[in-house]
Amino acid sequence: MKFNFFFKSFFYSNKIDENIFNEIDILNKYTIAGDFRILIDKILIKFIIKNYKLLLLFILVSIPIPIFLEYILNNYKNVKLGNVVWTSWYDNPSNEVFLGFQTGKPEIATIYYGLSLENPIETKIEPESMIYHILNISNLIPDTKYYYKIEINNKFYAQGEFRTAPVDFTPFMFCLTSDTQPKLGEGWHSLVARKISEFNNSFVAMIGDFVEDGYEFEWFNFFNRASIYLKNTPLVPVRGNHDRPRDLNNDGIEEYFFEKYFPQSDDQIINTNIYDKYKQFYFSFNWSSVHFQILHFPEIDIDDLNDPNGVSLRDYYQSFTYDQIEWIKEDLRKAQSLPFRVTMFHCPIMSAGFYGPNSVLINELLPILLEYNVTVTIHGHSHHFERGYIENYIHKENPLNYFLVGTGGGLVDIGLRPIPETKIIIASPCFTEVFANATTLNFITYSPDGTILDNYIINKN
Amino acid sequence: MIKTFSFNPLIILLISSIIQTLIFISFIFTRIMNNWNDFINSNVDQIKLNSKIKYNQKIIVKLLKNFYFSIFGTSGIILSDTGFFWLIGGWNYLDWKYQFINSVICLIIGIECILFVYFYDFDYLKLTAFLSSLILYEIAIHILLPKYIIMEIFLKLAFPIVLIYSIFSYFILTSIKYFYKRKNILSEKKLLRFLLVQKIFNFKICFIIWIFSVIQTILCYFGSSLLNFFLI
Repeated sequence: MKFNFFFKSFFYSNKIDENIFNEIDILNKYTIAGDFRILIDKILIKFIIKNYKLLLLFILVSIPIPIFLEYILNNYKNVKLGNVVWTSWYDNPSNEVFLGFQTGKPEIATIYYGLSLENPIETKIEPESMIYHILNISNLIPDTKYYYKIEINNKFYAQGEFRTAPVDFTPFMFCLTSDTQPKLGEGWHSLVARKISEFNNSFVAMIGDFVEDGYEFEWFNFFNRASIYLKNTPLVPVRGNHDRPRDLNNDGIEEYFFEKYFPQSDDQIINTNIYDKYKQFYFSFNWSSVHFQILHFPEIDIDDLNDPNGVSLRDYYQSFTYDQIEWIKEDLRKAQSLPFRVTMFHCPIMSAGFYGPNSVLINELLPILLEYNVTVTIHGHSHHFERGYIENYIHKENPLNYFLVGTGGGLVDIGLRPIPETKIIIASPCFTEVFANATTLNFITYSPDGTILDNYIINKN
Repeated sequence: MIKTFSFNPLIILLISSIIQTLIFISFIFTRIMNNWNDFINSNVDQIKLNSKIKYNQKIIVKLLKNFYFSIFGTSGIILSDTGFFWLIGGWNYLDWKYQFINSVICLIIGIECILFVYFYDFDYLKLTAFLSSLILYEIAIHILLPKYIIMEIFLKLAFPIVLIYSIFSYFILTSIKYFYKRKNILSEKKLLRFLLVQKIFNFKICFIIWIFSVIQTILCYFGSSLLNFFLI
């Protein structure tokens, strides 16, 4: 071989330039003559035969990567929803849950449920055919495992199980994950979901951004991948900014799949301002020693320089409505008797990610959370894991701990900058399991291979 | 944990593997072109184009080449900085199974790009372009950016300026040198000609780095890492 080193010829030798012109000379000669066949016969084919190894290597290196990227970037767009059923609840998981699922065409479903699948004690038939099914099951016994089976047209559709909430301070565990949306391919949502399914969780809290652009196939993709744990673990949803209503077909009609799948919002008042067109998604429930509060603050990003405080008017007024703020205060006031109060909403108050300390949330929401002695806030939005705490100037003995769990999918933040409140940051795949009892909350963050990345205990007082 | 900004090695690894793929493709392409020229020279009589056309074509090729290198050089600064700052504790090491190998690959490919673009045929203009780009980058990323509350605005507005400076400083300086025909004045001195570099980053090593970076990138895409396999 004439040249042994990589850059010797291609980068810095003039020889290669001259040789290129020689090639151009030849091409010109035959092109002018108009006889391409001579060119192909006499030069190209001989050359290809002589250098087939290099050409093959060139093809091997350059072609598979675009094919692979194309495959992983678009594969999820062709998925169809399997027979996936999810369980969730309104405000009383001790006595009432609902089962949700979607069918390809309007169908009437029948559900059998009870303490075992062999002898179901109750049967429920939907009153009319529908595509988006929400089956409410009430009058349940607290802290009891139930099994269910769903039939459509007398054919088996799906089966699963769930456990109702205890009324005393029974120890339990739940999982936190977020931001599973596919953008650059499907990411590691399947891997995380498989690992989550190995734990005996009472529920999985998904802190927003199920999907990226809001298309139905993205929701199918989420439910299919999460189905590995959804069959025996209820889902507690939080609305993210990417889950918002969107005009997907440019026909002036906005599609809001999130509301169809998760109808449990407590919001009864809409049109409090021109942007408040849909129900905000907030509700709360008690589980053992913990009061859980799900709030609607999906996107309060302070990066819109032309708007007041950097927040777009739409984002601000869709979140900061007087009815939600009053509801938060009233709900937290009622929950003071419980040892722990956990508040979940998508947009973080502060983080090492893109937006840093969020001045709007710090000024308008944080004082309420501190006043009512919230123990922990859980967020997504920034695509990394972060743990930190904010001093509570009212209840000085109880700092407000915050967790970001935005590593459930495939997107991670391009870079991080720790802020003074940051204690831990991780920007690789992980999820958080929480073990709760009457006196402690133990947050353990795992990587998908089971390695413990962070272990943090919060004691009562 | 050093309280400064650093890019996520997991993301930068994607860029690293693309860069290394381009490098490797360039290498194979170079060999094919050399063989092509040898083949033609030995088979066909040459017809010379007139000197003006040849000169213009030469300039175009040279400018494209300079631009190509300048992107590699800028990428080299970003990659090596990312790998270096993770390794010295830019973040905590809790997820080292994922990030350690990413950082090492970023650092190696970054150094590879810097050495070949800025230091292979050493001259002071290239050194000037390198040092000014490096200093500007370090000041912007590690001193100015952490002071901004909204990092995203800085990354959208100021970071492109740093990149554009880094790309065009090399491109303009090397192009000026070419037009004024001062090409060999300094390079002949070969003050820092890295003969060792030629031996380190040869075909086989480039191929091994490419294989590792691509496999690690694919594994990262699906939430795994090479170390997960080795350490099970």
